[in-house]
Amino acid sequence: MSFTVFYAIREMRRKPMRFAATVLMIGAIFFCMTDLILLLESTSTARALAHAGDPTYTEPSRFHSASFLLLLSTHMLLMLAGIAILTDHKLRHDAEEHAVLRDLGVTKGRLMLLHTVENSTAFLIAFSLSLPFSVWMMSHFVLSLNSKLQGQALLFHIPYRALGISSALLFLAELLGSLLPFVLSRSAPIVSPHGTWDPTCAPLRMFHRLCHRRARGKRVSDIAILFVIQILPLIFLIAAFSFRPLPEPPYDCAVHVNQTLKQPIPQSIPEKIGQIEGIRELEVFEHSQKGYYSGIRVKFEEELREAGIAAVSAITENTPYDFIDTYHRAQQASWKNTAHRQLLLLLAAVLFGAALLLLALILLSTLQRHGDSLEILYTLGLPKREIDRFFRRETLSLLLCSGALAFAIAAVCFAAMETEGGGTLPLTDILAAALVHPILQCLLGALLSHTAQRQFTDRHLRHNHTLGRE
Amino acid sequence: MEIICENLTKIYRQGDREDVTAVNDCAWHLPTGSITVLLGVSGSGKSTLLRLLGLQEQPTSGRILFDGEDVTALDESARARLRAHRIGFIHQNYRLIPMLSVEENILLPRRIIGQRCDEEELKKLAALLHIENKLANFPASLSGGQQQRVAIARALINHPPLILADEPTGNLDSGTKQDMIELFSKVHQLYSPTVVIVTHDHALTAIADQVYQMENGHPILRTR
Repeated sequence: MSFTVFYAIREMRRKPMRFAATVLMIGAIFFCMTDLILLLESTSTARALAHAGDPTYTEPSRFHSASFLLLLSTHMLLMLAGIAILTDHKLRHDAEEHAVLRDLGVTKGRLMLLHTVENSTAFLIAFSLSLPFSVWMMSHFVLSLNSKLQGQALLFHIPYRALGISSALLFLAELLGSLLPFVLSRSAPIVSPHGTWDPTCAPLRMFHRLCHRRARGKRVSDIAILFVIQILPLIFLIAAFSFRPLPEPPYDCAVHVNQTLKQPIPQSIPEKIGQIEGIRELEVFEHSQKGYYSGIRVKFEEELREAGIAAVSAITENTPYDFIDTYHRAQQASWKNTAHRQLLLLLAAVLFGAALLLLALILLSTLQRHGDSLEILYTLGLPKREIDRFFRRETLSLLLCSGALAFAIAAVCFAAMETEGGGTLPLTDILAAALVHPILQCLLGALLSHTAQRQFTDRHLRHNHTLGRE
Repeated sequence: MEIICENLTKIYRQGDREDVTAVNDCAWHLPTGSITVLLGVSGSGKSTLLRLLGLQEQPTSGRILFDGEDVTALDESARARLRAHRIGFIHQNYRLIPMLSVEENILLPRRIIGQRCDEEELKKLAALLHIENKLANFPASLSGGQQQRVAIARALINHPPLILADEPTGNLDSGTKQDMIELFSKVHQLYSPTVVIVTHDHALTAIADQVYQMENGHPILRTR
């Protein structure tokens, strides 16, 4: 087995939690972005349903394409930034061990390869985990597009070109993502004699310094990671809330002029439809300028609805007019909506649990970094109670920093959400909804980290005491 | 391995602040198979000189010759290969990889050069250093003296002709320190490498062929 593979496997085996954390973080970024795209799709569905059968409705296709591209670009940027932060974090943690490897004669190329193997493996696993979800989403789009082409539905407005560009962008992002650890490692494969690393490439040096800048004693990268951990389940929750129950469609079915053939509807069609049993409402649209019928909407009595829809379908069969079964489509969309909502709630719950574990892990790693200073403080006679208090304060301030950021983002997201009536949520609701999650997370995180920290200090001090005796 | 330093200088540039000359126009000769102890106060440049000999840093000017070959002219990859094949390091704080077992730590230099180590050789070395029953342990469960023995085993596993030790007894108590000095002597008799020891500890001069004192960036020969 080559040295690189041996070392990478040992590292993953001895530090499985950190490896799992990396996988989870990258995977979560994938999930989160896919989720945002689903959110857009649901908006599109709701709009199309609200206007089904309305011949005056024009598709906001350009808007949707632009939004879709924007979301994918955000996906790309967030993913790259996420991976860059994780890689930077990992390089910093591994600097001392890599300095030893360098002393033992590991070449620059092999150190780079080691970074690439370790980070790209995490990336590939995360990508494989989220792949089924992404494939499902993409196939969903393609199927919708096909049904649109067959004149069956107008639910999605993503043209082929936008889909192609988006897929290409997605692929490019993932390719760049997997190369990023390599680029970052290449910038600083040789650590300094003191076991720290400092990138040689100017833009990366700036990035590294930004990550390691200490804001009121806290590293920006620590806050950034905690923030991402806090925000991920929140995004899923917001997305789940956005799948509101769809309004009942005003009509059960509709007939309108085919946009490609543009053949006017003759008077005989509304006359035939009018003879069907159980009609509650029948609305016929006349083209304002040319004087021919452009659309018909029908609503049936509840007990005769199924038969009525079938009768209208039979009348329009083999004619050049579009028949839309709004009732069944609404039912289908409603079922999908509920399924999406439940899936997102489930994912939010899983992510929430995972976020708590990660939170404790990251806080523990922060504490471990402070291990030496802890020992010095202890040696200088600071009571253990004071040390505990010092680290609790440190942990809480970190949590509060990231919690405040998560709150701000959540508030903006909730403020941007539309109510069923089309307005915005009241300010008190926005603040309350945005506060709940960070507060809960901070409290649970503080509790977990406090327990972890107590165990750590106990173990650390006992270990050093034992070594000292020897 | 014979080592010759010619006009070796290392200056650390510090931007706006004054430059620091850690090693200044140093000329030094280390005969093959000798043990050299380099003493000096903190900040005198002895660790920098050791890092220059270990090819971890490049000199600002001057040359280092290993058996007549100018190693300062080599590129980074060639220097790394030389470190892997011909130099063994022993550090004051052991610098073992915590996630690898004792056995894996010792065999790491072998893996780096892509060679396997036979069981007998490992056992022999472990027995010499009295760590034969600790091979499956992880560094965190060993005492300071045991960790230093593992570090020595790791430095010796590739039979390098040059061993560089930076304060090897710095973290050890007096009893363990004496054991370690005897161990150094025994290892030297068995493997005959050229050894350079940087230390504050005068006890190590007992096994030295030559003792130098680092003053103002120069190693000055001291009579014992």
